[in-house]
Amino acid sequence: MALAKTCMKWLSLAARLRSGRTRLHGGLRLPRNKPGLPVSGAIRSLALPPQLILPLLDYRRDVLTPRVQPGQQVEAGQRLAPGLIATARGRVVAIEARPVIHPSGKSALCIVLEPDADQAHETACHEPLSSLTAERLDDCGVQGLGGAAFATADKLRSARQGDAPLQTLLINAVECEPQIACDEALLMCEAAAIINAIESLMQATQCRRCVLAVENDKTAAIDAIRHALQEHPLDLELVLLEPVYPAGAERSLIRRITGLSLPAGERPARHGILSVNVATALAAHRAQLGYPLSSRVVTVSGEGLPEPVNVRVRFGTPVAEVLRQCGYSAASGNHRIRANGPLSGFDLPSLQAPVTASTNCLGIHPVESLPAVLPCIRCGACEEVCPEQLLPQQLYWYAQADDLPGSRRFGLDSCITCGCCDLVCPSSIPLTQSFRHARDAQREQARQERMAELSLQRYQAREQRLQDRAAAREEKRRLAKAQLNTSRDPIADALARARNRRKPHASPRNAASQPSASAPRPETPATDAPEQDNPPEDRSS
Amino acid sequence: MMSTLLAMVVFVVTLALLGAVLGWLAASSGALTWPRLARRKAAEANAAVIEPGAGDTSIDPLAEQDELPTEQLIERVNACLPQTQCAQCGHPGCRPYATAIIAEDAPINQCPPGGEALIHELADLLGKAFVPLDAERGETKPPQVALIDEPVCIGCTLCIAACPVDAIVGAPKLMHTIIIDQCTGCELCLPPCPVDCITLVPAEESLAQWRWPKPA
Repeated sequence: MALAKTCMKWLSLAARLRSGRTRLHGGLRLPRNKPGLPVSGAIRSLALPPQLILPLLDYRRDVLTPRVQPGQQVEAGQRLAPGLIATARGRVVAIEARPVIHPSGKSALCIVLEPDADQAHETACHEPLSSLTAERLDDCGVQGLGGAAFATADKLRSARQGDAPLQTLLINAVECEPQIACDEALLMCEAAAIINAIESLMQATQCRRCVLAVENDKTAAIDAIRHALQEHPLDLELVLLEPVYPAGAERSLIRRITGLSLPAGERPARHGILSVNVATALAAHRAQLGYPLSSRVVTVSGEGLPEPVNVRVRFGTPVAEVLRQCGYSAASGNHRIRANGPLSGFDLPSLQAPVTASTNCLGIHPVESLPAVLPCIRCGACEEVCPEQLLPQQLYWYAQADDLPGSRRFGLDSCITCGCCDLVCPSSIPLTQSFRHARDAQREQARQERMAELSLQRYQAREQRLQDRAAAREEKRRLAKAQLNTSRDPIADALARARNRRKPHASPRNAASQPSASAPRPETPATDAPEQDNPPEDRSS
Repeated sequence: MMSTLLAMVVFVVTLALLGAVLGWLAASSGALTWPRLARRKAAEANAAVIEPGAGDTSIDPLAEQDELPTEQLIERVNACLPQTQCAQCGHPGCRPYATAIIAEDAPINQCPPGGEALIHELADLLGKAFVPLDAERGETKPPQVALIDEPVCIGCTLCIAACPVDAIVGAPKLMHTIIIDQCTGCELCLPPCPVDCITLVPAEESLAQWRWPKPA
């Protein structure tokens, strides 16, 4: 008995050690500033604006091709472009450039939709399914609501086709950034639905282990989940983490849950892990029930508001409209609006930009002058807080010198631009911005190399074509010349050739000449037309 | 009696300890190899990324040059060139210029689209001295694309024949248009146009191309 007990004790200790709840390296304990949460009742849905603006952009910011035209009436959930669905029933008024949520303040092509009245509630537009499929996720336009807005269907597909079978389904409810509480609100208000959603995802992925990760200071949310689990028992591991920023970053969370260090740029699906945000899991479940993903919970917090709130916003609602409905008055002071959190977010240049799937928070901050940037004093504070264990102070020099190979050696690809280093730097050096600049420079260089490769291919193809054509012409000329030399009576032959040439044209001339005049060489429009010095083949023979 | 019991207990505890340690080692080896493997993979990936960069190739360029056959050297030089195919260097394309640099010892400062960055890169690669861009060949311009004023176009196909990368679509007596994504802004379509309906406009920076400004 004693032996069994001892063994059990040691085994459990070994198991605990093995599962490797490694601590997050660095990070910051920040004052939470979580807004007043709707503890009871549902999250308030905002009214539909007069116009919904849906950017024709995918998660990489590449432009999508619209499948509708201005003036067309569309249904809620109808596909407007690959990966973009109509978030309400209405009429397409325009497809034009409008400002979008982006740090550059640039405009992008958007579909402007005038929604019909009486659509306060979202309606199902598909039949409910017994199990979740990637096609249904595509049809319902489900994308990641954690920030990257990656298509969930692609994630599910790659998890199924991954090299390894799916080991771990990781539901990420770690909202580590201060001032954001949209996932917390969801956990509190829709715990039962979330448990159902997790169950359907577990069934769809056939995973061996399912983990729901939450910070341990979200007590009300944890209670709600525990209560829902009592009513609906599920083989779900509830992992409580210390509230350290950036604990919710995907790679560090996977490292802590599974003990697996993913290299930068590697998809977790290749290692048998599917990691989804909790709101995405809920959206996937709603897609299974037939509802398209057309809204999300957004935390609106900061100065100039009667109270910080979590509200449900239809995609395409302009930021100005969201703030107005939340009771923000611009007259209350000089403010800047920051999207996606105070640390990893960015200031919005235009308030007419619409809310999209990646907009989790709108923060209202006072406009303050930036502190003067002082030289680096090599204190190493940034290095201590970096969750990816990089050397930000070193990376900074390479990034500022535009040395991309050097930046890569110092982990530019691993940087998650969390902004911890900025916050602790005593010299107020904008480290993260310089890393972002270097990363964009690297992406632009790769794009230019791709373009150069493409134009080289086109150039080579054209050279080859011109050579082939010249060779063929030469060959034909040679053959004709040879024939001419062997012929006994060249004049009679030429006459015969001329007669033969005239014959096929003689009778149908009127009928045949008309189409040939209107469409002179329809099969080779671009590539074969230009040979001006190329005499017609008939003449050369 | 008591001592026998104690001895038994001690024996059992030792066994259990040994078992636990062995079990943990066996189990943790899995957890340990993964990160190691991952790290090694990352290091390899990093090395692969860094290798073609200018920094590593410039260590001993002359020694390398002797070993590389001419054809491969031409390829290396061609890979550095911007592939605009604009012929401003006096050669009919980027590859002919690369061939001339290697085979005929042509100067490396003849490519305006590549600019000073390219001259530095070629100087490093070939072990030559840096020379400023030859001003007679033209000046380095920001990215640009051709634009056809479509109502004016008479459909003569002359620009189509001139385009080195087949980036113009059209047919005789029908309107022509530029495939903007494939236009290199080489300006070769300008001289043949009989109605001067082609202009070069600055290439528009898309949202995906936007870069965070460098902090001062």
